Amino acid sequence: MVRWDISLFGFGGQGIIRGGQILGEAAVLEEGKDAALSIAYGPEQVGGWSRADVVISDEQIDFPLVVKPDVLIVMSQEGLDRSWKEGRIPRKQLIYDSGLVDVSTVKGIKMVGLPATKIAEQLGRRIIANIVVLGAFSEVTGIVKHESLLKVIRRRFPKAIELNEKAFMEGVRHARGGGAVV
Amino acid sequence: MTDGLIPPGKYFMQGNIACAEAALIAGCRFFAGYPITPSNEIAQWMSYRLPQVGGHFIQMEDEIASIMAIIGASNAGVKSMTATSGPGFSLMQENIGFGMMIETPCVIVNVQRGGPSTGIPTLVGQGDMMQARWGSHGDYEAIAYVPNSVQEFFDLTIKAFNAAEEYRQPVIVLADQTIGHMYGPLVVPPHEEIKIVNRKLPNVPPGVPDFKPFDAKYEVAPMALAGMGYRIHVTGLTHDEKGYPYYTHEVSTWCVKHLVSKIRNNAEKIWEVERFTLDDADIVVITYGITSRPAYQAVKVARSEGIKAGMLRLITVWPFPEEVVRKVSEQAKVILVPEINMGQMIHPIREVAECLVIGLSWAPGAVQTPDVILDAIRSVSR
Amino acid sequence: MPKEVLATKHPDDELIRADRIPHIWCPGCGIGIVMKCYVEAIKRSGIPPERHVVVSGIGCSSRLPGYMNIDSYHTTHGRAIPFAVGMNIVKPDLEITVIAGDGDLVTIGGNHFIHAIRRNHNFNVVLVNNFTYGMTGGQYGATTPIGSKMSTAPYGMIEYSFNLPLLVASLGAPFVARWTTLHIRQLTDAILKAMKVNGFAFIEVVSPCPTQYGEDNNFPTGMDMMKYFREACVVEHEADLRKVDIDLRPGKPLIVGNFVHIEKPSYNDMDRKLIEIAMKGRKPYG
Repeated sequence: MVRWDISLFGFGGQGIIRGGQILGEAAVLEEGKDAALSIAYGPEQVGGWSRADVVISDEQIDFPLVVKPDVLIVMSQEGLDRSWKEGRIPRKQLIYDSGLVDVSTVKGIKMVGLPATKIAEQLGRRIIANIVVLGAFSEVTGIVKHESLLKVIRRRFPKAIELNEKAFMEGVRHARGGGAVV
Repeated sequence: MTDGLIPPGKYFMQGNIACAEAALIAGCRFFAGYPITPSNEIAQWMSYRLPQVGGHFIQMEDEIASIMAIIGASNAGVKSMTATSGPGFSLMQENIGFGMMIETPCVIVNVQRGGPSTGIPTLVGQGDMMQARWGSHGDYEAIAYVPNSVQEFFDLTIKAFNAAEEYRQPVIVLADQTIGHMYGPLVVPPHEEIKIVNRKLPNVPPGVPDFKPFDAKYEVAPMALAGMGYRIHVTGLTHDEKGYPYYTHEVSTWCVKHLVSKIRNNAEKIWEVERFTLDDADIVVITYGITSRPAYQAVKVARSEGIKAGMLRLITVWPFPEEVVRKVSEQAKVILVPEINMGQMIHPIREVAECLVIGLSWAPGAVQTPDVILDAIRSVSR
Repeated sequence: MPKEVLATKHPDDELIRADRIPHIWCPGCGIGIVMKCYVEAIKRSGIPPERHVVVSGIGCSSRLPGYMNIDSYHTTHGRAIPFAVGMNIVKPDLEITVIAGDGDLVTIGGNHFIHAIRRNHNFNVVLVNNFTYGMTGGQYGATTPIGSKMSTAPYGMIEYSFNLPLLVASLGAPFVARWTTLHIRQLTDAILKAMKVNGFAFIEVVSPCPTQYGEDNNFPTGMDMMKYFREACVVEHEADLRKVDIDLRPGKPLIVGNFVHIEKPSYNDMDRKLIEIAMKGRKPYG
């Protein structure tokens, strides 16, 4: 059984939960896997921390929650700090928004950084930083295929397919190039 | 065309939304509720979807009004539901008893959070197990289903409507915050393959002399609805089969025995359990709801270590599947009962078990990790 | 000598459960009069009895449905209104009348009461105001006049009471009336009007309770209260509702009348429109 525990961590408004939904949906509907998404927020109604935990497995998932992620994606400094403080240090891979997160204290973990929010801003829509990150995630880990994620993205955003595809592929390109690897 | 219902197929969906879609398929056309975390998505989705299928949604002034409104609607013949969490479930208790007494089908979904009192509104709990059984005053037999996945939240919501219609009483779905908020795979079968039960209506025309709305010749009497012309009287007072109130021990004996018997006599038909590597198990974990999820993993790991571990999962907690538990206990050396409470379902288990029963109590706010249950299995196996 | 049978049938037999008589109400109680007026209104309503539904809560007046030969629901204390709300929403063609007491409807059930008026649900509420909890033994409630001696106010009631017509009118009810059990014609007419109102119709019926209220408060018999009604009542349909507080002391008027009668869309009207709109663009699942 291959099981992946993935955690996306950022703040409200970054599309963290949406990112988790796309990831889970791609695994379940496009690749026939099992997936479970659970979400957690800070108490603030606006702008608080926001986390999406996604478990993806070839077989039926027993325990659907993430205790310690294999892959951690952080899009805010708080996301990084809180994950470390809570012992949710990734076993295999850290992916981070290099424009928002300082990883200078992190040692001994495979890391890929990319300025996802800046890339999204350059494409004209800050809100699609999550799509950029999904591209990087897919490229770096291969847990969910590019095409599976793209299918879900096209289905979900029928009015902005081109923009989202571009954002996704920018994430792929940055990850392929190693991004701002420390 | 599916008449606005969710089409058959595979989805990646939130538990609470799956519950709402299931209710629509089951035929629910009235929802009354009051905002409360972590059940809100059910009401929100119903407010959007119910009118699309010609149904009615209303947000009431509190949970007392919500349960009463669905009982009122059901007495006019419309399948009805409310959804809530601990504090709201507490407020509903008096009128859950009223629904039991006047034998009204309806469904109450309780997405459990941590308690007591306001507790931890956004985090998981399983503290309402006994309240589901004994929450309202007086004698009745509760039916409560406990889902452990998005799929099962969907399936059991439909079953809850069916049981409510079949036995003419309120039926409870005891979900929890984790299942309610979790997204997971959902397969919606072709609608014609989904079993839907509708209440029996009187088979005599209105106006026959001496019509009895609670006719004792039936285990569950056909239900006369408001406006059908039977001119019935319905009361929360102890009543006879005509529906008339009497203050006598004789009538009370009939009335209360009738209410409990219709469930007790059919308990084995209502019971649902899942058996997981139980055949030769001498350490048995008895679980329900979300707690079964870490338990599967713990049992699997224990098996890989050569420990004869198994799991019995209660899908219906009420009526309590006592014969099943008793049989399992005959072969087991130890029963472990992990719960997200300080020990509730352990009591009926102990009442029937013929082996040692150990509770693994766990405060609300988080689901046990597999290790917690695995450690307990390992320690009793030594 | 054989007794001569003068009548074998009462004209109201069709609407009364004769097998439930005798009733539980005390001599001098006004609830039976309210029931008679309701029966008359049903007969004159032109709506077949099969479509009439009576819903009550708990208390003396809430026993009224038990004697009515129509679909009748005797619910729990204070909760008749939300029961009626659910029933009315799913079956708007039922003519639902809630009949219950002051303790039930506006004391324990006050929150349901105000919200049902605000939403303008389409049913009738006949509130039998006898100033007390008759069934449980004369305790004070939200309508007990200040100064009254009650079983739980042995030193006299120290709280202010509701001015119900003002409360109900302020919440926008399209029909608001107050009558007493002396005004049987006006009360019957008012119930009949209420049945024709599209929305929430409210009638306060001031009613004697010699056993639990009158005994200690200068109305020891039902007749004493009826005499008071005859002397104190002033019919004033256009009354300033800020001035219709009930004050049972001698020399103070008891203002009665059909105070409000307006038209406005009911909850059913709005709900029907909402469903029409929602059914047109069925998303996400056509």
